[in-house]
Amino acid sequence: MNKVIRYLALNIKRAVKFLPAMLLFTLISGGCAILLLSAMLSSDSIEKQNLKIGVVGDIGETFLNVGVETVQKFDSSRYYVSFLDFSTEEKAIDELKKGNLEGYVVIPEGFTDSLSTDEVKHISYVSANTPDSITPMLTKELVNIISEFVLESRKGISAVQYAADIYGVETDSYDLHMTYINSVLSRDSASQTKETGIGNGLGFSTYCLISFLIILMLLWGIVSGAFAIKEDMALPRVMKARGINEASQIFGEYISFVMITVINLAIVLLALSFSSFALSHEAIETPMVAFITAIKLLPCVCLIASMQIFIYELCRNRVSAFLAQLLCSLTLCYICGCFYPLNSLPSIFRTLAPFLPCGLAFDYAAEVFLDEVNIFSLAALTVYSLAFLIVCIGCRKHRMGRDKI
Amino acid sequence: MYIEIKNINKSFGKTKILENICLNAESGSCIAILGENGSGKSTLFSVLCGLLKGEGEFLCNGRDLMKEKKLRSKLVGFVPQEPPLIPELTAKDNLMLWYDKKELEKELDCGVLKMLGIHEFYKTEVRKMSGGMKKRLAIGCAVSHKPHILLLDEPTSALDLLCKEKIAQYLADFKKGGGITVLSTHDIGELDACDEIYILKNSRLFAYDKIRDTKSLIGCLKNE
Repeated sequence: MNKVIRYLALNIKRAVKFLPAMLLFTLISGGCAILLLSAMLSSDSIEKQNLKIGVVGDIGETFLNVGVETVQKFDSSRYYVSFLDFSTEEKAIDELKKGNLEGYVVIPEGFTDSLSTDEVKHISYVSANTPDSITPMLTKELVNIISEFVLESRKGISAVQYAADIYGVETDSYDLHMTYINSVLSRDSASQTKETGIGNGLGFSTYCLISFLIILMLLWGIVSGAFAIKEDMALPRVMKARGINEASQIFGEYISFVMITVINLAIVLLALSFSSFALSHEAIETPMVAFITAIKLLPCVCLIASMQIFIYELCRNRVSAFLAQLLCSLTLCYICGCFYPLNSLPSIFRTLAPFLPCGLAFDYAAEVFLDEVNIFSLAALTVYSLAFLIVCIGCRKHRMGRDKI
Repeated sequence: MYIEIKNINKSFGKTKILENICLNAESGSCIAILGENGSGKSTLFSVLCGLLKGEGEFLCNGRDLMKEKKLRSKLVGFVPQEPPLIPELTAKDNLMLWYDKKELEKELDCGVLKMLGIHEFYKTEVRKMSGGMKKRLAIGCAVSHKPHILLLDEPTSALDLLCKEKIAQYLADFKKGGGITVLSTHDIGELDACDEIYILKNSRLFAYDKIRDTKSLIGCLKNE
């Protein structure tokens, strides 16, 4: 037992040597994240993020034009839509191929007139072959809105016009249309946007903060790779010969790895508690609370560290370990919604994420930030961490028996 | 004290690495095992240390060290080819894994660590050390529990003469103190200090006593 404690103490000493590199990395990645956020929230980039939909066909007709214009100005939030006119379908196809359009709609000739007859012509929508993600879905919805909006408003106006004719009231169809639009769909009251949050009830900034922390935890594992990788098994073998078995060795390495990550996490949260982020997050409102939050996030750190120790145990050299960690980290971050909110990703990701280590860690971190920690999440994290460590011990046993001495 | 190694067998899959390996040694003796690269010397040490499972017996005063793990870790010191050290830490830190603080100070002042010259690079990080320093430090770590049996896998390979001299001095002292040394080597000069020489070839161990010149040894390695 004495030797195990000594091994743990030496590993902690060793881990501390990686602290400056990890902090420097945090500083650089934090700077990059701030730049990225600023770029995302700046007005210029919002313009660039608009959904651009091409319109091929005649929108010169008053009613159709008003419909399209209304949809275009429907929502003043960042989900802004631009409709671009194209004289021919070929030009729209060219732009679509260049990636300048999300898709385009083709309005058949005499579309509006056909609405007042039995033979309704249909608007067709053409999009690039993209996966079932938020952009094409949103675009399809918008196209439906245009068709429905124009169709229904036209029907309503026709009905009013028909009634006016019966009762001998003189009407101007344009005025009727505008009155209809103003009374039914005045722009200010046409839509009311309520944001319920991005998955788990998180606000946008909390989501960004948690994502940043999870990504950092994963990347710290890469920065401190030299700490965890075992390129030669001489020391583990001698330790085993001297009575320090595989479980004790992994214990010593794991605890120190967790410790160094928690220290880094605490430093980041403490730094954030002095920033403007602290104003909108109770979990980091003061340095003391931020420190407690870092402690509360210990199960997340334990899970991610156990996963990383496991990956390092599988790899025989630094290059393969680095690549394996990077690939795993990026894939897990993407699937579990650290790069994009989970509800904007395909449903298969939403199904998988809660069962993956990164997804579990994200959910638990969200619970910590919302102050709604669930005992089952905690249990899941613990079970997952233990499972990784047990497999890790098995791997080390296997390597000791196989690798050349 | 005496040791008996009886019928050690070890295979990897269908390949036999060690076949009926037997040898005996008494207190204060030094045994050298020679063999080509890949002949199974390191595997033999690993089996004796319990790092690899093998068949047979490793008896010390009649007690089987293959079965009595605690006794084995108490009696046996092992130095593998690659020094088992933590590269980011200093010599002192590495020694702290195996020595108590007081014990360490004592050994550095006038004990085995001084004899090995470790006090000269006590505060140097392992990654900045030469091969010889690492080897001496590895031996220093291996003998912290004062073992009676020392297994050394190529202890002086690629070392300069001064380092070899320091290690040879220590081994002579260990031998004088009644310890049993089993070492593998490719170094003819090292054989002078050995009482018995064995050659491991074709998975078997052959005893070759009193052969000292290079030519006859090479002949034995080729022909046996």
